[in-house]
Amino acid sequence: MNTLIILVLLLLGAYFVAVLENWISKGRFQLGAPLFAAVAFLGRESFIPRKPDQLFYEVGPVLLLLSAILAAAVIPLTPDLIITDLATGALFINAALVYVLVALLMAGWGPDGAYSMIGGWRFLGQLIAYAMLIVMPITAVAMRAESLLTTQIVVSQAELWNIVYQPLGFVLFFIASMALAFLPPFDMMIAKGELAGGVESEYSGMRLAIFRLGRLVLIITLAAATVVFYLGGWQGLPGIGLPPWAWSAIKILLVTAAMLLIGRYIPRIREAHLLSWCWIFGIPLALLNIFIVGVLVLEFP
Amino acid sequence: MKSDRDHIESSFMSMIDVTKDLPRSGDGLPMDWIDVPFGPLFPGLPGGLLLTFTLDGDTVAAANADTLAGNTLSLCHAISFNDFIQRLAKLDPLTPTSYPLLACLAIEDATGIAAETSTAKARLVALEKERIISHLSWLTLFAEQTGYDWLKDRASSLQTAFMQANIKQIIKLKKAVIDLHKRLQHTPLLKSCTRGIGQLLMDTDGGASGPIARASGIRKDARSSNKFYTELGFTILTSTAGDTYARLQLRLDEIKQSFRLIEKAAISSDSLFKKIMLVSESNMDTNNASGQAIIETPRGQARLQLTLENGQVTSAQLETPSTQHLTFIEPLTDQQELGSALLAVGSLDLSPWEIQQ
Repeated sequence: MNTLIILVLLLLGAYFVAVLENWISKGRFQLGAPLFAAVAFLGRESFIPRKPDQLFYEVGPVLLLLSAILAAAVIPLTPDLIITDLATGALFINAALVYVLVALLMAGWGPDGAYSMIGGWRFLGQLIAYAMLIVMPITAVAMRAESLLTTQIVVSQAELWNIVYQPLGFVLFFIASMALAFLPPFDMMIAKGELAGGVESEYSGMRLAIFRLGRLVLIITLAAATVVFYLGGWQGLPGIGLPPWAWSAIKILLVTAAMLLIGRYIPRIREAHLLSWCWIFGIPLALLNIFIVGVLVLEFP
Repeated sequence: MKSDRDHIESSFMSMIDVTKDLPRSGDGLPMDWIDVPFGPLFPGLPGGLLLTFTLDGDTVAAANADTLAGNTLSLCHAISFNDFIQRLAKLDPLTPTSYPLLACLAIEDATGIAAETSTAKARLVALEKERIISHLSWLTLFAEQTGYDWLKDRASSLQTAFMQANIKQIIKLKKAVIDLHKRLQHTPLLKSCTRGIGQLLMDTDGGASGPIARASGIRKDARSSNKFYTELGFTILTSTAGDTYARLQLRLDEIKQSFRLIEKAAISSDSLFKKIMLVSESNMDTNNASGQAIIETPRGQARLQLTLENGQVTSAQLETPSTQHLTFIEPLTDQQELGSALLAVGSLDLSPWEIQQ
């Protein structure tokens, strides 16, 4: 039953992300816009490139959607609303999201098109930049919780949310999540002005709809992971009597809105800069975060 | 042991063997080279520009640029002054004021008449208004290329506002222009993603003009020899870095400068705009004269030489800035990463309609 509820919630969440994205980019709040867009996608003819690698071309978008759903399986929305509370849950999220890279490389290579292929390779470079900044902050979060269970990580923040306990980790994880979801300013692999859509450029109709849905679910999954790791999960603010699911929903939507808004106000980062900044500044800062959290855990258990 | 190695070598596809005959680019890595078109309709580049990069990975190994919509100003037969002006008005939809104005100036030079002061000032205002609109249009494309959505929306809405504005409404847009300038000075990542890209360092202009030349420190601007501009305190704005960031800053500064010139020109009525493209009909019967004019269009200097016979234009030669600037694409993009190369091409602000075929 939980699986069904979470799948429905993910779809609902993806719908609201689409509404938000449309609102932010076009300046108009249109609740029905994603529905009309979806109908238009399904109604359009699907153009197929001349010489695609059929397997990669077809599997890429589906794998993107599946990897995002897989990562969401270990994210608790309430103490009981979780698909599976794995003992290695926090690391499982990272493992599942690695398939985002595989999906995008397949989607980039499959159509046999220059724009999409370059986009796919760009994401590989992007992974080298952000991957450590996903794992290392999660390590610090798990250190405080003394567990990789995602429910236990939420419980460990009962007195103080991790955004206050380890703000550095939050900033790094938030930035890396945006890079993983290829949101602006980290959208080099689907850059319209450089690659005419990149990985997306050779997809149309139903396939493009699945690709876009996969990306929306990925955004909502990463926002939910941020809430679980740093914003106290389902736990609310004192004095406001909302049910746990409502707190989760509000926080996830706020994080999603922040992720979508930030990219609008800054230009796209360059691939080389992302790599150098992540390795020169990001990884040392992530190590510093682990060290600080280690000291705090020892001093204030 | 030896037999094991032999077994491995016989079935192993050596990368050295596979890549030994492939061409090498600057980084020394042998890869398949592919020709990729970027245009004639590519987001972030002006429509009509036919740009093809030969890519080695995502490095540009060679570039080829042409236009789908270039102009040929060859006159098959003599045409009247006003028909000639109308023809130049249709030459470049991105600069609908500069070229007909250039035609007026060249005809006036040939016929020996000078425009009235009020007309000359109105022309100055029209030209500066077009410069603001053109630079804002470039900013919109620049924002599209760099994925800077806020700037794209802001620049395009300001461009529309300027296009529809009369003199009084232009003055009211001052705050919006200043705010945009300030905002771009403080935008994170803007400097880092444009600095050092498309660098053009020149001792002499090498055919460059307009913001391209001035951003490289070349003090070249046709407006400096116009007495009406001098009276309004016009000075040539320059920068020395010669890269995309310098071109961006220079265009932003020029928007502000154009605004100041419009304010100082103090044109009170829009009715003057109706007269700026007209030449005096009293000189229609001028016999066998030639004239020339230079104008500073938003993209650089345009020069027109023409010959008049029996009150009609019989021949004309036009030099446009984009024709010259097109030749910079190859040196600017050579061995650049794809994103940088496209940004460098975009920073040239080419108008495909201006390019002569």
